Amino acid sequence: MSTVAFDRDSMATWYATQHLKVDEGIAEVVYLPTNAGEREIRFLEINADMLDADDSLEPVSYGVDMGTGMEHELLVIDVTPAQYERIRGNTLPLPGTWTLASAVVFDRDSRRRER
Amino acid sequence: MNAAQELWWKQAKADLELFEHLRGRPGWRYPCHSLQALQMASEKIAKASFRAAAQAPTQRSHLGLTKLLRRLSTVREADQPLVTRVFSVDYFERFENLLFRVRAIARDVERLPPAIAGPNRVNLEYPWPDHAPTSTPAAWEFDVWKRLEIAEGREFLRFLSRAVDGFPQYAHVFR
Repeated sequence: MSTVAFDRDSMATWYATQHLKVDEGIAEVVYLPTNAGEREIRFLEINADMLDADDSLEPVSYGVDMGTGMEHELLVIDVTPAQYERIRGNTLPLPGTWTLASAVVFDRDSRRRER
Repeated sequence: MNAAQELWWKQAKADLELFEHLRGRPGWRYPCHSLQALQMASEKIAKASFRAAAQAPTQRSHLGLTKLLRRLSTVREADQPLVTRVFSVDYFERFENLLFRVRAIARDVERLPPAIAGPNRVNLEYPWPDHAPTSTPAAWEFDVWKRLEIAEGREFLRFLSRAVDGFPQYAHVFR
């Protein structure tokens, strides 16, 4: 399998934009590049539509272009706004090496900002 | 379509047939059961899409139809003509609009199982609120059930039907 240049940040921007576009329950997409693999995109999606959720934060893999030169993995954890506040307050841990360090937030107004 | 996807798809198809059977049955008085079949079909076709990945999510992962909508909104450009064809729209921007329109009902159906709704809200199986029940699914007039009769709901049902029936054609786009 030949590999080609993969622009992780551009792909993350596109995924975030599309998810916000088709799912109005998502208030913000938080992109977490720190510690992620070169071809791994980690998102927290703040989902206002989620009802009470348990605290087992399990990333769901949206594998993309598997077996091609553009192979990469989008990993998404949906969290409630209350859970996100707890994550920010360090009372709800993210899994493994996931971290809010250098997080980039995409909101519904298509604004992108550093957290 | 890989073997795991095929199994999830077959189950989604059976659940959707059950929904259609119950919905069309004269005198059937319990929307909770019809909606349960609809919810199961929705969940399973979403899970079928996620089974394309080498590292498939666990069976208990909450993967409802809204996540399938997100996935469909990000199919690679080369696959967009195929997807638009399966869903009978002209081009991808219209398909995105379709996803946006069906999302509200998709979300409401997704929230109906008791495991998602929780013990004190409207759900498809158990009386609520749990500590002192005042309502039960068999006697409840579900708002989403009524909405299936109007244009919004009919469009949702067409969408789901195409998502299930057409799945073998587009299952590979999730690889």
